[in-house]
Amino acid sequence: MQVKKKAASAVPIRARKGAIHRFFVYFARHPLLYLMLIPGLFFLCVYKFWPLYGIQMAFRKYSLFAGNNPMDSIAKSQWVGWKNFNKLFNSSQFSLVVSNTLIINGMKILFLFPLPIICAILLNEIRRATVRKTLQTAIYVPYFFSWVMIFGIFYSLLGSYGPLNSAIVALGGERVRFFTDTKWFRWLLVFSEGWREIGYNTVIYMAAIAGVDQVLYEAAKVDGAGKWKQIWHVTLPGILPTIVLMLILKVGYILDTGFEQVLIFYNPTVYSVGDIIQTYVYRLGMGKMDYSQSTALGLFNSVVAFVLIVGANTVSRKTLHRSIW
Amino acid sequence: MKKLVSLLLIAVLALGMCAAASAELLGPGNVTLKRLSYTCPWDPNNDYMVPIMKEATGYDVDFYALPSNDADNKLMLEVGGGADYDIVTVNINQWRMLLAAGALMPITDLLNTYGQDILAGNTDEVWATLTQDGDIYGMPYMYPHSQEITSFLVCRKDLLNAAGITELPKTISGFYDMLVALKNFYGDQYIILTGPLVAASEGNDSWRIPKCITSAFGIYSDWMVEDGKVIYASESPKFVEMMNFFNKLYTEGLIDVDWAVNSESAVQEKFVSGKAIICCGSRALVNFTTAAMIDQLHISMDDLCYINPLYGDDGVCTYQESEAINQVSCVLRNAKHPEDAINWINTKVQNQLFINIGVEGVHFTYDEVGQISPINPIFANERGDSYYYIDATNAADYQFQWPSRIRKSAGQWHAFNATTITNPDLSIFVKNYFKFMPASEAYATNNTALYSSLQDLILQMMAGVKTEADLATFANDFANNDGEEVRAELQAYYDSLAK
Amino acid sequence: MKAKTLSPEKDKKNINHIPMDASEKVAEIIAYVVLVLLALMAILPCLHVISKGISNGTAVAAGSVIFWPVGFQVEAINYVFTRTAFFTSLKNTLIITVVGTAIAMFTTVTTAYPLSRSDFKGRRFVTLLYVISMVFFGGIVPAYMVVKTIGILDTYWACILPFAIVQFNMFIVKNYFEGLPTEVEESASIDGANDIRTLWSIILPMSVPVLATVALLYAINYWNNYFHVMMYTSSASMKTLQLYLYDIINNSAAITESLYSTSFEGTNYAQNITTEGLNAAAVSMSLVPIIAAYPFVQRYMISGITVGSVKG
Repeated sequence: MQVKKKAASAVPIRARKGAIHRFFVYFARHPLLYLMLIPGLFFLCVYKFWPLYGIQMAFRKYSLFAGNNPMDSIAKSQWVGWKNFNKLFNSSQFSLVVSNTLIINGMKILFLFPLPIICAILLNEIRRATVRKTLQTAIYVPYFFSWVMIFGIFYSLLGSYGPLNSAIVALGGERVRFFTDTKWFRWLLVFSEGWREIGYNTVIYMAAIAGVDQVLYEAAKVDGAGKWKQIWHVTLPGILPTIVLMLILKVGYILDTGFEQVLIFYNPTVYSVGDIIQTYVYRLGMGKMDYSQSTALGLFNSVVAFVLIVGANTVSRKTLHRSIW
Repeated sequence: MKKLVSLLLIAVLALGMCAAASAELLGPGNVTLKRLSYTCPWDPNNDYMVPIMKEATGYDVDFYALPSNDADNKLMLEVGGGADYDIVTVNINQWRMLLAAGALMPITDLLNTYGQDILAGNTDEVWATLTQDGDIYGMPYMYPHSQEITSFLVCRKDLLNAAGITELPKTISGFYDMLVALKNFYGDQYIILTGPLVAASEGNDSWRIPKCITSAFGIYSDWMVEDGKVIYASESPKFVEMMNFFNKLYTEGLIDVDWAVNSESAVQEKFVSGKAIICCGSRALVNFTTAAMIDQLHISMDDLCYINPLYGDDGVCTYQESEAINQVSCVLRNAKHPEDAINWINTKVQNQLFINIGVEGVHFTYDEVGQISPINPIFANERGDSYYYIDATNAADYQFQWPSRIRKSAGQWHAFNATTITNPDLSIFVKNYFKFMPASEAYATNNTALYSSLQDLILQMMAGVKTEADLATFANDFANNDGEEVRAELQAYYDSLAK
Repeated sequence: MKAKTLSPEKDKKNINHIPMDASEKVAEIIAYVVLVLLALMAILPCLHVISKGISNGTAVAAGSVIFWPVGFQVEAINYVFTRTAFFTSLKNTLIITVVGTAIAMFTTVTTAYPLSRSDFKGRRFVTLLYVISMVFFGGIVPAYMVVKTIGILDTYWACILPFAIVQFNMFIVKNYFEGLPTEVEESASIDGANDIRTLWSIILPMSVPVLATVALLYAINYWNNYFHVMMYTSSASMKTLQLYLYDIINNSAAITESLYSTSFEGTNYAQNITTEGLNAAAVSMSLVPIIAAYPFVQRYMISGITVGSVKG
């Protein structure tokens, strides 16, 4: 840690002069490190950067058959400038769906982000290995259900005539329309997302906790720190890099997540609270195969995500001295 | 410009095709055909139908299925990327997209040489639909029964009788009175009416409110013709009245409060478990629910009765004919064996009875009036899957053969009999003017999205989330999403029919 | 030096070294209560699905199966095994998952290691490339055409290579490597070990838990991959488990329809195979390999790395 911080602060001072020279010196000393990068960069260039050629579809009226093949058609389709974006921004529903997206994903971050961290820490407190493993397996299984299945399960349990509502009525309450009541719908999304993803994210934090040096715990105990102090002063700082990484990405993708879930869970009576950008564009584009419109939306989301990630990373670098790059 | 490009493209493709077309009929056993069709629930190459077709035609065929999601995307990407399927069997919208993209091979000559039985099996009117600039581009599989009541209400007669209802309502107000009587008698013990019936695939027949009720308001389709003018359902003079009616049912607790959420299986579940008294029905639903209810609720088939399309209090009842093209089989320009593809389909048409229905005495018998009666369960076990492998048919023969597929299920036959066969009033049927409309661009591009927003509006007005006041916004969105262009195309086609 | 970096007996050690104090007991009790509740919430719906898969068909249709089977049948599972492409898709998914995870782990580790070294020149630039590629996506049309151009359409490679490095997973590994004390590497380089040797014999042995976890994330990624695999394959014999499941779920009504027949005497054939029951059977069968494989991965995910002893 210490060494790294020193190096980071040292870079800007010496950076300008002879940077290229020093690169070659380093390269000559550590050629293997650069060799190691090749496989990853190869896949990155072929499967991620090459397809980026298609981003221009956002500024064209893409027609699959304009050229000899779909790739050739990209450059041969008509250039329309910002038209696809204007169609998106000028639609009457745009502000509604943007705010829905922000609220739903904001609620998810607020209520769901801390849970896997807590789960991982708690799991770590269970000493009996078999119990710990069983619990961990149990909470991770839901991740393997597709949203279609999850909707089926939730509906049969929470539907207006399902077992939960029967119990509420039996206890003298009123039926709760979880799926069609605008007051409940967002909570339904948050809850079902939590149900599916907590276990999966817990696994990631478990790995981070595994990396915390045991010596630090021993030292803390010798200093007389109880469990809570150990968690606060050893575990949390130890997994902070992972927490920061996860949070930056979550914030970055705030406009860009939840499509599949919402598409399956929502219905026309809750559009006012549940319709997000992607579901809205999906409905507008039904049956049209409008690749340009979806590329434009994707590009808009990507730019927003990139700006947010850079911003969040800057904040993190300034306050927590942690940076993704 | 666009036209020029597509002309050039077609010219280039046509040149390539000439080379392919010089190939000759290789005959069964010398070639393996490639057939692509819609999503298949089982492994299409590992089905009992495969050896049956091989026996009848001699051809080896590799079957490919589109995925159940994003089928359009996948189809167009594959074809755009130069796929070489010999036969592609798709719905009419997908066929229109392929045709517009210039991906199809004209098959008039091939049909004349190898496909005489296919040609003879369908009417000129149908062939005209599949013709562009004098060339045929597809082979039809016609919907086998034109005047079928596809939407009805299934009722628990035992519960109706217990509440003192002995006569089924014929009119919309009679229907409302019955629902109220049931509510007064049973209170919250039962869901009075559950629905809707949304088919798993988003076809244009999956209305969110049953057509057997909208019939009383003169509404039978998303696009209708009134006094020679093409109108959208939301513009119909009785649309608001209809939605007010449904809103009244919703607010008075006469219908399932989860109407907007219910999936097909949720509706089934409520009816089979005895939680609901009346259920929006279709053949596919009763096929399954009837037997399950007999098992679970210990009722008999006679405890079920069916409400046919309702009449308005003014005597109006309109219901659209179901006749249309179910699927189209076509040949891609890149196909390697177009001659054998047509020959294979033609041989299948020649052996239509054997392949689709089976052997007399083994899979079926002829009943006293000469109709085909299936032998169960061997009919279902050895011919149940045949529908997936149908390409073109001899339409008249299939109209006679097809009802046997309904008869394999007693529950389904019970309902079909009560609604379609014994329904005396054929005057309610409205011709589907647009059933044979040729490919048109605005309709193919925009209608799915328009249809989906109409269904959304219906559910929203039913639940009271939107009201009459929101119709102006709807009309506005309708225009912004090219609704008027679609209307213009339909109007032009309708006018051409009238001539 | 590399001997005791991993100590699986951490549990025992914790208890033996220093006696438990009250706060530890409280923490453990809270952990039990919270996690058991969560586990129940996760497990009960799964029981719901499994019960539906083996319950009497009409009982499933009536919605009377909640957490425990009502009646018993194996016809739905039998249908899944014999009539559908379950085993073919399972085989395909297993091959893709195992080969894919191996390749992905290789590229991830070799990428993460140089980028985790603070002295590495070009670190920020290359890392930024990974961030950019994570955020921007060209769309399915060019992605499809790239796979087609390379000539791997409708093969296992089409389901493996495009996902051979997931940026997020690379960052997790990189983060972990960065947390390791740099002294270790320095002492290694003084010993004359080259960078590959250092990675192989010093860094990796200290990183078993994170490697196991990231391997699991990759495996899940390959296992759950749906959309791209659907686009890149077309033969029925290339179908993966996810494609298979979606096709079953979306088509189960058609299956029951074609299977269903009733004699006029009222005998119901195939009544045990219902739409819901069939879905449930297919889904629960597809969960079996995951639940069976997880404990094996878990063995390596234990915490208890004692880096400090290396320094000492």
